[in-house]
Amino acid sequence: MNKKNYLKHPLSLLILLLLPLACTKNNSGGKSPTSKKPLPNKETEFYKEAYPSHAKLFSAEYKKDYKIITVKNSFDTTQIEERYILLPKGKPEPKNLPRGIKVNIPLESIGVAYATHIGYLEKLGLLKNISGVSQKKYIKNEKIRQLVDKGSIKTFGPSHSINLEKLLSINPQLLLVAPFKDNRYNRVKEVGIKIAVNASYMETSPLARAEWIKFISYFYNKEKEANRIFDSLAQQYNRLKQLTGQREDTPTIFSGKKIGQIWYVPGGESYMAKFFKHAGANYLWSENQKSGSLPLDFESVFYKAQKADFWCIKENYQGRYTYEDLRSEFIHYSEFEAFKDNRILFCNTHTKPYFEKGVLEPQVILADLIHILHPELLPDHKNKYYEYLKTQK
Amino acid sequence: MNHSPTSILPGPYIQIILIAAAIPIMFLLNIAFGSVDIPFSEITKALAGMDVEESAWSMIIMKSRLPQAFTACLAGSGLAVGGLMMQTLFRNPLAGPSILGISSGASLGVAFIMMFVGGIQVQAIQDVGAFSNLATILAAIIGAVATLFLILFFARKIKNNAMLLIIGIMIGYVTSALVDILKYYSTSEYVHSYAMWGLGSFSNVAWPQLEIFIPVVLLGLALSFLLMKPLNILLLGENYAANLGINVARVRFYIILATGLLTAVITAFCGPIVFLGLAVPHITKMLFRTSNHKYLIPGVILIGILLALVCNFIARLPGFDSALPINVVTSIFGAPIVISVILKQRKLQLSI
Repeated sequence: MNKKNYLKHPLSLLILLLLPLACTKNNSGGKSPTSKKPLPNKETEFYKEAYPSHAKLFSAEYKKDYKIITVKNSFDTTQIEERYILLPKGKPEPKNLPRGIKVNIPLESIGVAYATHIGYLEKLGLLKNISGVSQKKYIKNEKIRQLVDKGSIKTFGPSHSINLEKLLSINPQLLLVAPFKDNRYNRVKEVGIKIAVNASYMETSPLARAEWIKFISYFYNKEKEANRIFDSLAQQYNRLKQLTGQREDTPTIFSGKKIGQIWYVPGGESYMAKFFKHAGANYLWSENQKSGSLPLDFESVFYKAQKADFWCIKENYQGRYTYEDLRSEFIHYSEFEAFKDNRILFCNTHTKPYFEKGVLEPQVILADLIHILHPELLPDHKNKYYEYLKTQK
Repeated sequence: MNHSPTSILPGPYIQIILIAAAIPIMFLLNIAFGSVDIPFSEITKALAGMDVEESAWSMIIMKSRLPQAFTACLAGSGLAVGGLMMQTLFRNPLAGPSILGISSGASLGVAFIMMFVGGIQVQAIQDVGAFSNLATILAAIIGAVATLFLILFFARKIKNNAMLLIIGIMIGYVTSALVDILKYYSTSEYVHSYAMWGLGSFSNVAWPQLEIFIPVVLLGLALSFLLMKPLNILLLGENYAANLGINVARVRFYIILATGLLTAVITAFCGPIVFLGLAVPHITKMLFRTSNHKYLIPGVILIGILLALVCNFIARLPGFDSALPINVVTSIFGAPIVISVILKQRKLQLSI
């Protein structure tokens, strides 16, 4: 009580303001043993600020002693999905806070409902902070898998229908989820577990998706690391993009396969379309303005793409996927020139951590594509995600 | 052989001729239109086996549109005949070929291969290619035939048709519950593949598959022609049929076998096509004004072909980049027909 009252004193604000200065000073000279004395207000210090430069679905605002992080509704970007008020742990709550979900940071524990979000935490060195995941079978990260086996990370069931009792027994401070349209998390919210929406996969460019690492960093005061990681990958990505920028010879490319009778073709403004463009390829549907996908039938795709130079497929397939497997799914796939000339780019998301790690390695994916489409530009690159499809088992 | 008051009229030959004439026209429209515009002259050239301006066009016509139109004909005729036989056997206007749970059995087989094998990952089956067209077809056939045997087993045990009908519906419930369990534990991409299969499509059958599809459907149709007489007698009621010296149990066995065969193979190749099997017999009875299977069986075959072609044509109307799912179109056609049948209840009692 006393402490609280003391901090409410106007002078304390001044002290709080001055402390960051003092702290940084102490840190810089932190090697001497005398600086070991506790720094009571370290949490309030916002090391470096991070703002999105490519990502469009979140924004950050830094206030004197809290941060406001806003996530836009991915399905209707004029609406706000959620606002998070991040308050330094152990400090009294400032008055007149804006409306939003209040979260004390840095987080003590986080639950991760989607395997694709693990990569962000791993990159920031926060794997230990994960206290619960949805299901082990969809996770590729070996460390997490081991920790689940040991029991130090618990599971709470499929992300579309979370087992509430299990989740409550784990009681993470925050549950990280992907954007959703239904009210599947209402019960989770009702029992008092806070939900953070990571809308990275709704972003339409590779760099924007990677930039969501900043969103995660806000909850841990790790903006500095996030900035460093993102700037470095963005720099590499842009350098590769410039390599192909001047090229006149742009091979034509199309992507995907049909599901049932519909072939979902990525729109001209989509994530994949941007990869193709930056890799110096002529994406056959680049004229299209959509960032989502177009549902086409086989006939339309075949007519446009029959003579395309390259065909790009990404699939979760256990075992070695070959041309024969592709033909066995639908015999007319073999009528494409790219099939006949063995010019199919393939990424097996079962064996490659495309969804878990690839999102934070857009520069590697881009290099993979360039290495195949313009081999002379990156002769020494070793492909990690995309490879030529195998002709034999 | 006049067993019902309406068949005193001369046979519905005019209707049969008109419908038979409409089929080739509809067939050609199916070939001529699609999401890619192809000039009519090029279409005739491609059909005649001559060289066309763009090689993609001949591939689209010969390997995509043509097998698709044939598939529509086979599925339409087979399901319509199956529906007619079920409606007569069970004396129930709302019976269709799926009433026995056979198509749900096929769905379970496909759900198993797509979601369980795909998700849990059984290496042995994966090596064969769990997502290959062949694996899907085989799984559907296994599921459908297993259900068919189950129904035939009950058909021997249970004499009462209404009870057999209820058992068929119960089997449908059990299989769809099993499918739901698979869905629940599956990731969205597998559930999506399964849902897309469930919408039905005539476009997944290529020439090599037609080599199996055509003979099996023809066999089922031939069987139905052989059952023409017993089906007419069944209209009088089972007791009367038995008094006339018909072995009701054996007839029932063959009717179920023929319907099951047709439903199993059509569901395996096209997915569960709804409504055609239910609606076509009613349309035929309304147009033909007879309940004589001598006319009804060829009638439902022709109208089944025509309606399937019309639906396939509407689903792929030019101007859209993608085809509508076939079940959407058949249901939009089917539902008003079923409603009108219910409204014309009096007529219905006459014809059933």
